[in-house]
Amino acid sequence: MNRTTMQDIIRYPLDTKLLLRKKKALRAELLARPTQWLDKNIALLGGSTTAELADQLELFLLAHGIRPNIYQSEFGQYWQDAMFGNEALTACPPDIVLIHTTWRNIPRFADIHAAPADTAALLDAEFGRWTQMWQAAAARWGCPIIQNNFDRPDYRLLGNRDIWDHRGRSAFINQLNQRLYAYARAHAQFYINDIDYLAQETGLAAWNDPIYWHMYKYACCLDGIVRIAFSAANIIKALYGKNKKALVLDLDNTLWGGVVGDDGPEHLALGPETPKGAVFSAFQQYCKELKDMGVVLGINSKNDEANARAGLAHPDSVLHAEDFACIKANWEPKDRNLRAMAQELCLGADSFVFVDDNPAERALVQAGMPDAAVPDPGTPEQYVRVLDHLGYFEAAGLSAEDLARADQYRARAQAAAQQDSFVDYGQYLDSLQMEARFTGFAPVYVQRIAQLTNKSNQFNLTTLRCTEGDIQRMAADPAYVCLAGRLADKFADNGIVTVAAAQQQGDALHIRLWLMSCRVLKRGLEDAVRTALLRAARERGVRELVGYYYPTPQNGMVQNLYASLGFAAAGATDNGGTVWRLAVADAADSPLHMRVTYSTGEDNA
Amino acid sequence: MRGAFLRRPPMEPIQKIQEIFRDIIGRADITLKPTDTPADIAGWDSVAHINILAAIQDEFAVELSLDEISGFANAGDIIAAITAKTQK
Repeated sequence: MNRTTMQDIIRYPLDTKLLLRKKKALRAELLARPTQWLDKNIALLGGSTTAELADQLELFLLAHGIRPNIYQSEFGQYWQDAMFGNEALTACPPDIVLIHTTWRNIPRFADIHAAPADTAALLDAEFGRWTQMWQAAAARWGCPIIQNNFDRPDYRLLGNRDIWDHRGRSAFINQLNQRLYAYARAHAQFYINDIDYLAQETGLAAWNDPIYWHMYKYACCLDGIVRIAFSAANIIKALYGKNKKALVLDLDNTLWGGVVGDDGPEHLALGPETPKGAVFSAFQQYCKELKDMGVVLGINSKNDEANARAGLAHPDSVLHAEDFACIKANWEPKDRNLRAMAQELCLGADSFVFVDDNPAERALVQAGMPDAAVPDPGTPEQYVRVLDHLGYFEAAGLSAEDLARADQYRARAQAAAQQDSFVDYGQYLDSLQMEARFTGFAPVYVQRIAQLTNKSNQFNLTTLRCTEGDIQRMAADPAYVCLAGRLADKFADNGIVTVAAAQQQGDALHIRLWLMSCRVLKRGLEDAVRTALLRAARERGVRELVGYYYPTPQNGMVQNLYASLGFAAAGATDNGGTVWRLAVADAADSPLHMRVTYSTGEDNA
Repeated sequence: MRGAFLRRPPMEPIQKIQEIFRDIIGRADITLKPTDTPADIAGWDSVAHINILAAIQDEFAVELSLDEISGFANAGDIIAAITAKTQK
């Protein structure tokens, strides 16, 4: 698959005509890509015809490395399927339920004779119909539910009164949406696909093209269907940890107008004095807000570092040098800089978005780092909109960990810089003043733990992908030893960075799940996990730990982990994995360069 | 090469429509005849039909009404409607 095709698919504005006309060819090209596919079952439960939506959703998910198996409900059977399930869904339980409904699926609105109390009762009844369905689906499948909010019709019986009078359809829809949002706030694993925004963006008249509804029972026009698919795919890829993680920016004419090395920092277009300066300030502000959400920022610019820093010290600069985890201002080729940055930050090439006004630099980076996203950001006044609409950083499961991430990366870059000055590695580790805290799979951590199982690829022994429901089941099963490990050091609290689950069978503990975030590699945390597992084994009177390693293209770094931890090789599994055993009685404790504490985790909310 | 390209006559509506059928159905071997109905062309199902009509309206910058769309019985009907609208 060539990059051109990929950029034809994920671009702004979406090329809906191309996506509709060439979908068969695009699908074939995407499937021919050598990718480690994530296979997922998706139940697309529709209140209107879903055939085109399913096709478009497949294209976007394939572009994100997810190979979907999409079930579509019979026409209009969304409620029945979600409520009661059916044989097909039982045979192939969904990993994601996507409920494709629109205002056309609201069966009754208040009539013109209704009293306010009648409308309120109608609203309660209608909302009850939806909650009943979501709860039944959540109980049956325990998987994430993505629900469209309600768009608006393009006609208003009451004219301008329609939006505020309780009898207005617009007002009713508005109220119903507010209930949906309150439900989303109160329920984990429930996500809103904001098609109301998509409808406004498309234009209500085009969106509600009556031919598509009356001829084909499509709830909106074809353009709209493509947009709904793109938006839903963004939520899904975010849930599976496929968001971008780092935004790397050029400086001259990207973060400010002008060339700092030639013009001097005092002559840059930046700040409120000129329209052009205001445009760059707005873009910097947007980047700063992304950083606050956990996006790691970097600079990759052809400049002397002193000039780059002088530009960032501009009095009107929203972004400062300390906002960036990594600054590469030099005369190296930018693709080389970006690859070096990926190594330093321990992030995969596919975690990066690179923004540069210069198309030649973009082409170079794209060629040298094909897995990075290198969008054409348009003209400076369009940067915010383009970057925003591409959905790289879709905040589906925004967690406290995400909010702290940018600082952690910066802290790690500092720690890496310190490494040089120590005589031995142990001394360096001691200097970090690390503290590891192990808990069970406490409710407050379930979301984070499930997230880690889906996005950790490198230090991941079994690549067992889990939903929040899977994690809760392990936590509730007395046969399981569950460990979630937090690591803090003098620079930052890294949050939950390692997860292990071992199942007791007879007198052995089988390690079904063990992963660690790449952020804390080479800290000796794996020794602490080994110690914690041995401790649990001794408490249970278990004689042996059994570890499994299932190779994937990305987890080669842990193929010898068990050997290095003193486990003995004990054969292979049917699916190409290796088995490792450690006798609890013979196992010596490894030296730990950190303080370790254990708790149930209930007190850590 | 360039000369050969320039000498090619402009595409007739039926050729452009044939291209659309090929793209959307995903088969390069489709030869469209005015008498063809969905029963004659494998892959010309209802989903493809909707996309074909949308692509044709884009390609020729015309709009088809619900009555016109409902009246199409074969490819020739579509071609005739487009030809009439583009020759106005």
